[in-house]
Amino acid sequence: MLVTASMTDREQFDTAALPHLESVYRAAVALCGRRQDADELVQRTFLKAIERFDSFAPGTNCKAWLLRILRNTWFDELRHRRVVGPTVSADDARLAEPDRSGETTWTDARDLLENFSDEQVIKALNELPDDQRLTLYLVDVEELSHEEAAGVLDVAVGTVKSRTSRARAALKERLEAHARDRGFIGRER
Amino acid sequence: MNHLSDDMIESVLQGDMAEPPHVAQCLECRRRLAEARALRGRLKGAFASVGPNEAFAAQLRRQLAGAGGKPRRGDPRTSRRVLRFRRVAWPVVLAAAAVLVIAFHLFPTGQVSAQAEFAAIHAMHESPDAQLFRDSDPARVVAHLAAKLGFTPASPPPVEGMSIRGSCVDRFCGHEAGSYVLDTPHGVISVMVTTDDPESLKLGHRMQRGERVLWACAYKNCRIVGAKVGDLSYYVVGEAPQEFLLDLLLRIVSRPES
Repeated sequence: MLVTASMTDREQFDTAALPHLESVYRAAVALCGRRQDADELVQRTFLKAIERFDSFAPGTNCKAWLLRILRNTWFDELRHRRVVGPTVSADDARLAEPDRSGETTWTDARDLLENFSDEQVIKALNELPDDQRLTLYLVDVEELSHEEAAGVLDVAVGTVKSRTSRARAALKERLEAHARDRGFIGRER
Repeated sequence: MNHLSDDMIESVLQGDMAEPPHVAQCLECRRRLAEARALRGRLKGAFASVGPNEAFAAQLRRQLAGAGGKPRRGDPRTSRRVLRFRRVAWPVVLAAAAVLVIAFHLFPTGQVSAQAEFAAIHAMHESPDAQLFRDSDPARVVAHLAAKLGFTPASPPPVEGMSIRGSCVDRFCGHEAGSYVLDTPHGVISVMVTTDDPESLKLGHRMQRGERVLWACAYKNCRIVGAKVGDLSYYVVGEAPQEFLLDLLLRIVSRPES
């Protein structure tokens, strides 16, 4: 349903924002890991969104707008808890390019990944640094373009690309570690 | 050709770049691309079953409804809110009036949207302390406006569940406009009468109801509907369903005296 000028602010909000509840919720799970925390984050995100709805430009990407509020709300929360360092993007500088010299290669990545439950995959994602996992979530799960993800994350498009690549490599490393623990990894050099 | 860079793999996955011919001849690049695709697909699949449950979604909708909506009738919070509102009403009304006065002086040619003015005037009418000619008799409120405006507007129509709170004259678009303030099942409604027609005010979109041409728009939480009858135009403003406002407007403009 399209937002029209004859709708009240509330109707415009319901029409433009509420259909994205699932995407926002999934992003919250990607960030928080626990559903209980995700519930709270989603509540705060939508309450902020309705307060600031006059700053949303009709016709633009409402999902990206909501995800940006979600991301900012989450980092505010982390700062409040003093869990994160001085900048939220420090992981980009901190994480070195993956060393591919000793990298495990998967004989059949698709088959291997099917050994993991959905919860195990999400848990492995949750182990990544905050901005990496949100970036990977936006690009791979929400299938936002690099430009749209850059808008949500407030970074350059090039940063989105490099961060996505690093995040995927880090996710792979974590899944490999879990696979080794469970004894179902195939090693090939 | 060199192996695919990470950047190129991202571009291929996004569909921004076609798969380079090198991939067909390079086992390593083929494998890296396949792994990236598999991880991407598995991650997407893992989230497919994740979503808010019904109870959470319903609770969130209730929270959002209470975030900016009007208190429901019979809601025990209502009386507390009215008391609180009464304490802050005058500063709010004065501030709204000041904004309008400044706006009229800064933008005398109607650059402030008519919608914003309608909503601001209606907000003043909603105050329990609004300066109204308080009378519930239709004939007397018509006479009050006629004396102030120099013309006789149509009287408010009798509608079940609706009562007249009073009438008043406000500055609108640089001149005077009359209003009836009504208590209705959908809250306070302002019925304004002015010589400014909806087309000149650029009032939202135009619609046809029978032979009547009506106009409708929304501003913040207010809906505004309007119609021109002869030299006068009537506008119904409130936080009520559009159909209710249109029905009220049609009753007004169909009055024999309008």
